[in-house]
Amino acid sequence: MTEIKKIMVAVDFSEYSITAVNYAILLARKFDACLLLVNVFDQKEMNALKKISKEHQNFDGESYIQDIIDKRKIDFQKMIQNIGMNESKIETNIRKGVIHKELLDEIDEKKPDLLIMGTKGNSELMDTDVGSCTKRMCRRCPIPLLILRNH
Amino acid sequence: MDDLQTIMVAVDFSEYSINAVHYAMKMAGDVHASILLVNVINQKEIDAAQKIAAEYQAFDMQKYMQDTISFRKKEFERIIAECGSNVPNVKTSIRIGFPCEELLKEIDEKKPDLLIMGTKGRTNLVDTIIGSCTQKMFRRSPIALLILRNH
Repeated sequence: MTEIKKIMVAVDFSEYSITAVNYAILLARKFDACLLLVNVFDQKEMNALKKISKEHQNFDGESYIQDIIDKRKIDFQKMIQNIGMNESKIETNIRKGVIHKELLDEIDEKKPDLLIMGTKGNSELMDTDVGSCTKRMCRRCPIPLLILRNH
Repeated sequence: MDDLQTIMVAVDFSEYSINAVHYAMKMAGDVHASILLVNVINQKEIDAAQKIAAEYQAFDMQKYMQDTISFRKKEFERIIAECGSNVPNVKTSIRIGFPCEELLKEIDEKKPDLLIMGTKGRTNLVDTIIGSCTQKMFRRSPIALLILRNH
């Protein structure tokens, strides 16, 4: 369990998760590990978009979601270019669903040795110390979990 | 957060924390970091002992403290030997006070780069998932926090 060969990072493109990515790069270099950057399209957001597209004929929820996913893919590409590591050692994945469940599924499928995440992300209120998703992962994460606060 | 020179481990000699020590030792060996093992004698325990000392003449508070500290020092030696690790620089520290506060002070004084702890420790109920001290550190640790669940 202590061999660190694959480091997964939960990325929501907030400044918190950028800190997490930077820390993961540091560790990946130290351990000569590969990176797995994972973003989850939140089920709540999808539900909201679907509801709107039902009510508004000219709003296409599906294509809107696809646009956002495409944009995130580009963001990941930019991120990888900035990392300056061998690109074959960086994998990205965008999933759809309930965030912590998708992260757990990703862990189950890809078997990373470590998960890195910020204390909170995009959707959290300004004054919460720790995001709800991070808290859930803290309780359930089957692999070592590294948490970073922003400074 | 730029480097990984010193790894601190919060140790309460529970199986959770011994697991964390093993993990940290392996990690430190891989990245050539030094290790700082920190144990805190809980203020609650001292308060209880002082109460007994006030009521029973035969109870020697000073000896009790000496015994507690020397027992824990031996435990540290035992755990370090058990790891059989190749980390040349392993320091230990025993503090007195409220665990969370003392861990934060230790971080402030010794400036480690990473804190590793188990999800819960000695004093917690069997069915709690995350110990209160871990939860507090989760909110307050100024450095990266790596949390390990027991498997």
